[in-house]
Amino acid sequence: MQCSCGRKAVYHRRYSGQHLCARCFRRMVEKKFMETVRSNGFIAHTDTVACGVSGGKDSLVLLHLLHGLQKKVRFSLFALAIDEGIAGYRDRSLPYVTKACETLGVPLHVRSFKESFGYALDEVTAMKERVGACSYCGVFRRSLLNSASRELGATKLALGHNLDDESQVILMNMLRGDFARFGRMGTYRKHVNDQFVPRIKPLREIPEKEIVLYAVLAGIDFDFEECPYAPEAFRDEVRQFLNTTEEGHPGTKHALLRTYDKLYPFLNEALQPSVLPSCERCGEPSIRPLCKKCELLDAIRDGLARDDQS
Amino acid sequence: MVRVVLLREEQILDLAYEGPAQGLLPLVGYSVETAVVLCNGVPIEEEDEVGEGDEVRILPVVSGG
Repeated sequence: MQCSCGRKAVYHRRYSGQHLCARCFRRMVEKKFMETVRSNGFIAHTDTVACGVSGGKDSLVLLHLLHGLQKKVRFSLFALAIDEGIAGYRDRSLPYVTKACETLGVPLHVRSFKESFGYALDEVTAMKERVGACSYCGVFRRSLLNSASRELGATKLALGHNLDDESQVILMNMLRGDFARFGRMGTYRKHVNDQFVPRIKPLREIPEKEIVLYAVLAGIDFDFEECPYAPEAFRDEVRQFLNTTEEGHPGTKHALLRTYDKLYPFLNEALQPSVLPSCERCGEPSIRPLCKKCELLDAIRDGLARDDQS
Repeated sequence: MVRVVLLREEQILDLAYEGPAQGLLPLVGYSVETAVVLCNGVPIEEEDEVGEGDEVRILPVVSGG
């Protein structure tokens, strides 16, 4: 098939019926990124943006697009990588981050679970009694991204969540009946805690597949490995369901996100606290007196002590 | 024969296949939603034909955590 410009198409955008050549495809992705940034007021001239990077396609495409945006909006940008301590995975992907940052001239900061919390993820998952790896990882990563961004002077934390990630989380929270978390998914609009760095997701309307193709066409080198703990997660089942549904009914993922976005102002009003308290122990933002990170660290300490005794 | 290169699995398969790329994907464990297809180094639409002498590279869409 041919693109409307006459060139050979490289991508069939099923949810809109368009066939796009390489040039029009890249423009379409860049336009969608810009629209999302503009319509949500994500970035201003005065901002210092921390871009969470892992070495995967989402975060490196995001870094690339944010770097390009600096030509139009004069904000400050740095990259922030988290080393969870997953042998054979994160040590393999971090060199992609280093290379991208060197190429673009973006400062890079790396923080690790081991240095920040005392444990690498692999040590935690070796415990006899444990919850899913993603439960530890998600909580620790969010906490460390927030605290490190703040300490490094960021006013926004940009994350590479794509349309697939967003639609999966919407569905997961619904299926779990987790209404409180369901109501906190949107873009933060209220200032609720001085310690909280607002998160922005400029790729939230771009499907995962388009991110991969964009990376290929833009010559962005990335790690395409999957986290070894990913098959443990409920998300994997939801992803398979959504991909099967999208194939039969193109546009399903967009429809899910659009529905959520229409609901969000009501959810935000009803569920978002006007003030988000701080954890009594570590001072990080937390709805409960003791934040989830501190709670999990206590459980790990107890679990490892039990393992030593047995 | 079509040479199929599965990048994540680091596998190379020679398959007797002639037809649209999307028909090849389920044979190697992928679908339209989970793969980006390159034919002879260039991205193609899944409806595009692949066949004798082509090298098809399969990039997994799902990666990371």
